[in-house]
Amino acid sequence: MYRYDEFDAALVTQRVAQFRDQVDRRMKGTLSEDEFRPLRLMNGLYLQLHAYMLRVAIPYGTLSSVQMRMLAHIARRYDHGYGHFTTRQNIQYNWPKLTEVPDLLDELATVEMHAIQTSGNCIRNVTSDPYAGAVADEVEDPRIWGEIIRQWSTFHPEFSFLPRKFKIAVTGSDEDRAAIRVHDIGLRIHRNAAGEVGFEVMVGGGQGRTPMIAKTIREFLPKAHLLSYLEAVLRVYNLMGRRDNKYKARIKILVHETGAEAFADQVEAEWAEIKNGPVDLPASEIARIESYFAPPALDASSHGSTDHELRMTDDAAFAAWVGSNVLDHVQPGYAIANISLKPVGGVPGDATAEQMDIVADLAARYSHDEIRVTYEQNLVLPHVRRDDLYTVWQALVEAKLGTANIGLLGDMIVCPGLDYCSLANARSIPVSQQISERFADPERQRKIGKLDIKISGCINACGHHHVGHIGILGVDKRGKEHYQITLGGKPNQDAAIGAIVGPAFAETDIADAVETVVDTYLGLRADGEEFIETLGRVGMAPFKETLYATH
Amino acid sequence: MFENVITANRLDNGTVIYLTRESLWSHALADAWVAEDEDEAVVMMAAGENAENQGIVVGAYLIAAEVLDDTVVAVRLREGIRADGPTRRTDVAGADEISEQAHVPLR
Amino acid sequence: MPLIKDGAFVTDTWIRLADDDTLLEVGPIIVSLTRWMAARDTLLARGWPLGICLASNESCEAIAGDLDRFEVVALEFPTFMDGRSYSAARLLRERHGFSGEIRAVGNVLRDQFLFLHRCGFDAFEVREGETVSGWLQAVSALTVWYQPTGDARVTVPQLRQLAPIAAE
Repeated sequence: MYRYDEFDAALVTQRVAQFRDQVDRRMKGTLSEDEFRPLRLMNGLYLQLHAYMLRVAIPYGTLSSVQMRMLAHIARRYDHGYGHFTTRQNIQYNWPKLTEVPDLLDELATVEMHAIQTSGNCIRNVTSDPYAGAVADEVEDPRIWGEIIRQWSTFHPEFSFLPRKFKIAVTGSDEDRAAIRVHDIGLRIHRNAAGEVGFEVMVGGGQGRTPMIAKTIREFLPKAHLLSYLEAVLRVYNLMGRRDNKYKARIKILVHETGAEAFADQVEAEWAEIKNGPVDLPASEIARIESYFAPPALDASSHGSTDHELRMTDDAAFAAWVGSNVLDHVQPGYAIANISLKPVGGVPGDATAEQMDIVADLAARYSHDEIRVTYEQNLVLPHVRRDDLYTVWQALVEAKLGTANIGLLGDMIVCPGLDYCSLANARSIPVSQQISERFADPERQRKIGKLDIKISGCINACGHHHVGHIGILGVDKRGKEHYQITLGGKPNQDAAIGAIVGPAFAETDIADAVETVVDTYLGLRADGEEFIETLGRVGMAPFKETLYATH
Repeated sequence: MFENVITANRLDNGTVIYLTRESLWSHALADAWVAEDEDEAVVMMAAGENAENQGIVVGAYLIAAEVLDDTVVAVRLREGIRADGPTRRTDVAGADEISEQAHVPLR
Repeated sequence: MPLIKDGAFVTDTWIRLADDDTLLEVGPIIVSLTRWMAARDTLLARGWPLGICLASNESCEAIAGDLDRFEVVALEFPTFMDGRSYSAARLLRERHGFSGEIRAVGNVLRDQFLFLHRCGFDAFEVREGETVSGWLQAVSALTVWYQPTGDARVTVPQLRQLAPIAAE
């Protein structure tokens, strides 16, 4: 993974000093809150429902064991002993003190971490495939480009006061594990007919009030021109994006109102002027960054012994965990191990400081020192020898990190909701806990199969409900929490926005409603059909009937 | 039901606070000054804005609360959660902040 | 309003004319795009230095062909959150080769100075009470820049090219 050189380190240190000065001026009163707010937002610091909330960047969801230990330390020293992993592969702390944040950031800087541009109307953390560099279907490791974009976008003087936030995601495979089509810019690395590697550039995806799937504005962009092209897109957006209405200020609205083709033409016209200029990196710099993402030194002779197979036969719980949480690695004998942060009845995406330390230790010992964060709020050990999986699993189980539910019903994406967020209209965590407890039986979840439930506490859709197979949106109906169900959303290369089934359900009825949807599916499914496939075949009508028939 | 209690966050540490009748700030909603009429609420809001201008608090606003028995309860769920901490989580709610200085005097 | 240019307070010799102000016969003036488009010949006939002020929603392309007529282009910030003029300044400098003064006017705060400067602004209408030391501190808060603009600052990729190749 990338390591800072003196320049990267200097920038982060200087930024902390700059922010420390801004906090001082705020505390002394020479900066008003209106002036300070955008500055603290550009350092990832929100004023939230209960306290300040700090969002620390985890660039393209990759971190080392040293960095994970620091996140644990931050939770203990500056917060209430836990953190929350988010749908943008970042981590959030819910209780930092403003006056301590500069010290917190200084500590983060010692391990090459920061909270730069994790909020504000600027380019945010670039997200990517959590299995990058470990998975067989990859054309090229997308994190190389995640890092290149990160540097280019950091303190970009022209794009720090955009009409709204700007989110970029990049994937290196056709299988989209980064939900690129619901991002402001989605980039898919692929080969053209001539075998050259470049990007499909998609613009204008997003969720929230007006969910939209991104449009392809360029089928193939040669790799070397990525930054100049992005600069063209951002410049058109900066100049033309709406600034009259906060709810119409994202680039998706601009693309929609301009028309994708006309928008693409504007970008191409701007790009033509700058593509031979200095913003694109020289090949040597690309190669330098690329070298940090070379595969770790894996043991080519390891193929997973019969020990592993025996364990699978003997230990049903271990076998279940391997079945749901473990994926094949590009290197035979190795595996990608998902760590579920969705224990039954737990708070999805939360981890205690102790749990973070345990994951750090496991990564150092068994995963070549690397950890990933997924946008589905789980963690990954990307490079584990199959022979070590049993030992890793035992340690995870002891730490309450061994839930075998990846991709199953219990593995819900859930925003913090009204329990934490001042934007929310309803709580989301208790709803997920109810559903989780209702479906606690692992055998039942396996019978149901792959099913993505995504829960948002408000229309901002941080829980990605629009692209859930079952999406749940919390709303406020006359002061009471109600929940609206959508069906058929998909986040991947088949991206689709879910459709509303009908009137919202009271908080006391939502878990029943979910169970009704699941039972309806089970009653209709053909052999081996996943929920989303059955829904595609039978449509919404059977679900509307069972959900609302008695009303 | 008009809005009758002023709440804000402490600027330095972000904790949720309520304006008391003595023009101090308490972490406990039960200590809040509850306005009896809208004129009193206007006076309270001015005190809140004053504290903002002095850099003690940030984000002062009015909420609706009811006096029940000998305590004060927020009308809206959102304000109730803000007063009591995240639901379903007993180990890490803001409750431990209350053990700190309970009253922050206005300067 | 106080004006900072090249790291010092300077006396502002320019008069900013509102659209309905009587046209001054003598002296350097700054006019709006609207006035420029309506009274171009009259303004040029004065024979005095001319400046133009663009609102944040006015495209710099509207004056791109006439840049040699202006000594000053003022770009307005109705709120510091409106970042359009950062792009306008870069286009004026880098696309259209404008070498006169680009002045930031309106809601211009200390914490924007560095980004404004990188984008090509060289004059800043600042708040009462702003200081030269505040200005200097703001523009030197960061000395590391990843991305090139039209300013002369050496970027990190350029520095990396100069650095000796690492042993590993």
